[in-house]
Amino acid sequence: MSADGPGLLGAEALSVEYTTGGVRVVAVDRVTFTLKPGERLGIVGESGSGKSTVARAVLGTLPPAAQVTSGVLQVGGRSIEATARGGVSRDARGAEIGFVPQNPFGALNPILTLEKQFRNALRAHRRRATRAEARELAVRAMAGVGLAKPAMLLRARPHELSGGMKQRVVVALATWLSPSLVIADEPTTGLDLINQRLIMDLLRKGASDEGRSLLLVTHDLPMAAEYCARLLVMRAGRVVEEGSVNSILSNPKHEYTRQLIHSVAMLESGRLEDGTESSMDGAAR
Amino acid sequence: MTVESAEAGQTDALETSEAAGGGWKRRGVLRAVALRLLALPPTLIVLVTFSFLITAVLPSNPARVVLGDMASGEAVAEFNHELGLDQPVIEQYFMYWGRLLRGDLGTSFYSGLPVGDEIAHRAGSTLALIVSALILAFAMGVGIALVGTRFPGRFADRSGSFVVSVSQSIPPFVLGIVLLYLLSYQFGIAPPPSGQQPLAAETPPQVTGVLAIDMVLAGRFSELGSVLSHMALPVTALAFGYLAFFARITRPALETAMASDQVQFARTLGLSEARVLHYGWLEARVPVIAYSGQLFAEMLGATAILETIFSWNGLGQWAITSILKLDIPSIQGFVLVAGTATFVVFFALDFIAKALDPRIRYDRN
Amino acid sequence: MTATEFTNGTTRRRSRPRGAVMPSIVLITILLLGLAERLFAAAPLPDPTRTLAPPSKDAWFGTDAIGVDVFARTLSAAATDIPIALLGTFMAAVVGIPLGLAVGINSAWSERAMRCLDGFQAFPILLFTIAVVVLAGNSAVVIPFAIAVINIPRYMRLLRSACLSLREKRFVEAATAAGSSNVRTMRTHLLPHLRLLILSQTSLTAANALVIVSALGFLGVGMNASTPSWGVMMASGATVLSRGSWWTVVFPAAAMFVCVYSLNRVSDALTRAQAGEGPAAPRSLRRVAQHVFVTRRNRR
Repeated sequence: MSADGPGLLGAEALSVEYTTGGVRVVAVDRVTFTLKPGERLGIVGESGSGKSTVARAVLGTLPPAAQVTSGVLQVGGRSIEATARGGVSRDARGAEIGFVPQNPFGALNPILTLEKQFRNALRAHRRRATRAEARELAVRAMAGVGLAKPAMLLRARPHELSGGMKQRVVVALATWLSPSLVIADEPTTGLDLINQRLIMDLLRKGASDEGRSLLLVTHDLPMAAEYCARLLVMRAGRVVEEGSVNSILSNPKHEYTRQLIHSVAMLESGRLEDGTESSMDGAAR
Repeated sequence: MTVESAEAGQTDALETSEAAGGGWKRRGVLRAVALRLLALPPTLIVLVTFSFLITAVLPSNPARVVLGDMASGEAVAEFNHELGLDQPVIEQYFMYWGRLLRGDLGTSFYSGLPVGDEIAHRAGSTLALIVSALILAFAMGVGIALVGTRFPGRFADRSGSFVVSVSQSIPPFVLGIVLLYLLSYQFGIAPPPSGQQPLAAETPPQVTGVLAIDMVLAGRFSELGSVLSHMALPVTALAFGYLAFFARITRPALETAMASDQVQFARTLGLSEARVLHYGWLEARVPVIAYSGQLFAEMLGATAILETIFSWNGLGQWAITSILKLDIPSIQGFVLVAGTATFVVFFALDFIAKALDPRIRYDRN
Repeated sequence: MTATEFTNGTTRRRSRPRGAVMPSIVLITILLLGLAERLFAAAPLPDPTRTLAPPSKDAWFGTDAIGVDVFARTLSAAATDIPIALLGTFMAAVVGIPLGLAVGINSAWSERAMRCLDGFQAFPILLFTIAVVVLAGNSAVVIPFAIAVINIPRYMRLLRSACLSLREKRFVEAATAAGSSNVRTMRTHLLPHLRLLILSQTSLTAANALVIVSALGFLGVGMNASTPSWGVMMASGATVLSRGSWWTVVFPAAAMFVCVYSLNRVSDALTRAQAGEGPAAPRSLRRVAQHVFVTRRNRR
């Protein structure tokens, strides 16, 4: 993994506005960042900070009310002029860029069997894929996320699975076509602690095993600190601070970052020490 | 209990249910069916009672009607005695139930034929119209909603909305007349309103009551085209009048579904917009199908007028003339049959809706 | 934050239903023209010398089978059909709205009441109307009465579901939690939202009523044949349609269509306006809490 090659993903002065009921709200205000291949970047901020919008802008799945008003997105060395919709093309989604959403209970189609959903996802990128091909890939993907008896699970429908299992299926779907970048938007919401760890470990493992970049969007600062090498702190649509996990935690420059760290420390006294330690070799994990 | 063992337990449970031949699935559906059937007896009782009360409400002097004004007092008295019309009301009520349970729906005052026969003779014709129109209206209405959701605000959406508004404002019978004038009298591409067949044609032996099917069963395929062309105008008029219903029900359900998490996720997987729309439709279709039952009763009314215009000789047309002539047994028979049919339709649609949404099936267990 | 934002946790726009104005004007114009024709113009006389004349300078809409000017008669029919439809709608609203509100607020016996009405809805409406008219005669009172009877359950059902869904919205819960009484909750929170909904439904009912009036007239069960009515005109026109005299049917049909279409458009515009200012679930619990505290403060 070259540390000084062209960035895998980059945003320069990206701005996104929402328009509802005649009122325009700036959700993302001139955000700039780069992500190198194999790197793990965490975007941290509270609700409404615009971090999820950044992720969706990159993916190109902004809601109709949102528009990219300025800025340039660069994916894999190619600049994408920020069109109103912005973001990567449909072909790239699911194949070169995977997305893990935050709601394990709602992400999968409730009517179709898992196998059908995998097959549709495959056929979106390889039109001639046969059922057997799809099933084989799917079984491997499900096993890869630690699900037992994948062949049988494939015949089931989402409501027959637990929340943790569903989220693992979602991770499988997001990563099974070997994307070079995975964007995870609050991937552990609604999951119990054990499942949270499992999912995050899966994401980290996948990233390190296959040299995949990870863009983690979360409000959970300790989690971002543990699993990422660099952090981007956002507030009210703007990037407030950026740097390695180490430097941010030990020497926060912005007032808001300090507040964040402080409030976390209040909740989990003592844990911050461990977090700081483990983040020292975060890049190597 | 760790996550692994919990999940192992869940997978085991899935395995068991699969091994049992999907027993869970079947039990859920059967239970739903049984529960629905339980509602049948009370509904029937209400229906029968209502039908019986019609005699109390509508003015009638059946003896005079059937025997004529010149009939003697004794003839009238004998007639009334035979029909049990001189008994107290409660007795008549039980006699009515008795006759019904024997399958006797009464005899028409006007034709003298058993009401059951009259209905059986005509029901197929009306069903053919209604079912065909429902399917066509469903296809058109849902199609307009799908297109409008896919291309919101564009020309396709706006013209679709206009069609829906027009559909809502033209009653089927008016459209029927206009189509008749344009396509039949003016341009001659549609047959004249001579009923289900050309005037001189011979009807095939009645097996199902649905002319198209009976034609096929009799092997007269060459005439099938004529039967279908006679159906074209009334079915189109009826369907066009009701596509608005489907469009207006589907659109909001579809838009809600398109905003759901599962559709968003499908987009991030790189699925085509068409496929994404399909995913939305899968979620939205259940209420649409369930609501179509409401249409059935309404359509019976609209069909009746169309049958009159096209000389269809169907159940609706017969019902109207029975009402106008105060043919009580026929009216009673119609109320019973229409009410039961509507109940069956609701039931069937409910069943289909449950079958289409696997979540509901399992929730029962 | 402004005061209005507190009211239901969303920004509330008092949107004038702009789309409702034009169609209303059209409808009222037709009605007024019809009344003018009926009251001030001489009754159009049959002219045996000019039967089934196509539209021309003298007879804009042509003449019918007995030589009556179709234009005059079409306008005159507006003064029959529209008032009857409106009367039926009014009767339905006057009975249906209070009943619907009562059922919507009190859920004790409302379930059973609605269940009975469901059974009623399963019956073909038009045939029921015909039966009532046959029973009680085709006067200018019976037909509206029949229309009212059909539509009362619709009002009840609509209001009940609206009340139920409004009750479940958090802002009402918050108000009740803050101690606002049932009636007060209804008046200050529910009714404003229901107003547009009621108007929208009324317009829709009027549209359907007009269709039923025409259908009854077409079948010969409406007002008697001497009273001009679009349905009757269409029926008699249909008998001579094969002779190519389309104007006897098309013009009354078009008139009816324009009125029904206008009423539907008004209903749509009102529904859209209602959705615009309707309550959405509060965006955060914080807003709900603020609402509760504001209400409390205002009451001191």
